[in-house]
Amino acid sequence: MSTRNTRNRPSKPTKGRNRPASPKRPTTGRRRGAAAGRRRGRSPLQLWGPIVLLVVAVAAGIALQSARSHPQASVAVPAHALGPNGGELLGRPSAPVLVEEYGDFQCPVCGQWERTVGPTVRRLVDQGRIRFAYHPIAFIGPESLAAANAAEAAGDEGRFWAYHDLLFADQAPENSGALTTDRLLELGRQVGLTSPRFQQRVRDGTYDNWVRQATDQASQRGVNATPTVFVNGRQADGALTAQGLLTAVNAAAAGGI
Amino acid sequence: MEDMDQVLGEPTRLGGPAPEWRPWAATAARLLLAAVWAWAAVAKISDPDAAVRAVRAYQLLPEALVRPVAWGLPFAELALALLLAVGLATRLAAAGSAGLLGLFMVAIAAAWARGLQIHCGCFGGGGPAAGVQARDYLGELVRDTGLLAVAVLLAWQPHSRLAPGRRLSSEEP
Repeated sequence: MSTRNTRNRPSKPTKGRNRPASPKRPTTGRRRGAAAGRRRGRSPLQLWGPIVLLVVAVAAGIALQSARSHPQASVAVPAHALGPNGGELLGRPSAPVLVEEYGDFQCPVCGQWERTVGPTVRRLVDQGRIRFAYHPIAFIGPESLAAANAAEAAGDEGRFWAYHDLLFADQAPENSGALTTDRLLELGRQVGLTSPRFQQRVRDGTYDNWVRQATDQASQRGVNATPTVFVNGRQADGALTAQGLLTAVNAAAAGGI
Repeated sequence: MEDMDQVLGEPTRLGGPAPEWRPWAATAARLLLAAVWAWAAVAKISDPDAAVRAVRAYQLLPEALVRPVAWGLPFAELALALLLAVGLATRLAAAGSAGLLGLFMVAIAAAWARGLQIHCGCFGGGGPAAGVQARDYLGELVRDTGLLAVAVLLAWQPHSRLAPGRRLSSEEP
């Protein structure tokens, strides 16, 4: 019956787990866990130490991440991002319907949208039926940020849309490391961007903070994915196909929303 | 009498002698949870802006709370990972883990129920979410259910090997 007892005691004398006649342990059948707390009591350090650790960690974390998050103070705004919610504008001011796209230059579905819906967008713009605003945001990774900054730098030279089209035509897999500074400069050369100012702004990340801010504003507007399309200020998930975009634009033009 | 006393003297509450493997299982549970929390924390800490977007995408918190939660939460996870890895305050850390996992499951289920298409952001990211399906939400919930079960068991039986906590607080003299 007591084999376990006799086996354990010599091998682990310090723990005294099965010492039958321990004077400090009640023998009246009280459970061990409850007895343990009463026997010794918990020191305040044992109880509050971990809780204080948690609270301090959270407070320190908030302070640290607040400092690491993008500085709101120094945001260089590109002079040509003139959409109602920021963003690059295409089309006549008199066009009755505003179509906005939130896109990430690395996002494959955005590239697909560009190929399948882009021609319809350009036709509607040419017909004066819509204004189109493109919001370059950086959801996917650092290369998204670098590409968006480079596109804004291209905009400074009046070549935003040419650069935008080329980035989407030249997509590599997400975060593959393809969009290096050299690659972004090379793409610039392909659309005639050779000015030192463009190259400097690509290297410096002049508009990085603006892109970060635009990304945060997009998130506040409910954008959780790219591409997200708004028609006259309303999110239009149907507009991810050419036919869906036409339907949404017609509805907006007719309904005046 | 001696037998009776011996049974009651065992650390288990189920009446039988505690199997030798149980403290080791608790150690494994501790290390598993610690690894999951550490991974989740580091992934979220690495990109504070993405963490903000991930929390906001759930559309559960007022804007004023989004940043504090997005920035503070991963450090709570890190603190839990630390406690569990070292083996200090295991019961408290396990209970905290269970509570946090329960909150996460509620948030994920709420996102699913409202038809939101978001990545959970559990291990960083949480931004783009084209094509999130029921299967994704279900997978996240199943995973969290498993971790929740481990955390609850550990909170119930926190005594483990390779831990200073037991000797300091609840080992018999």
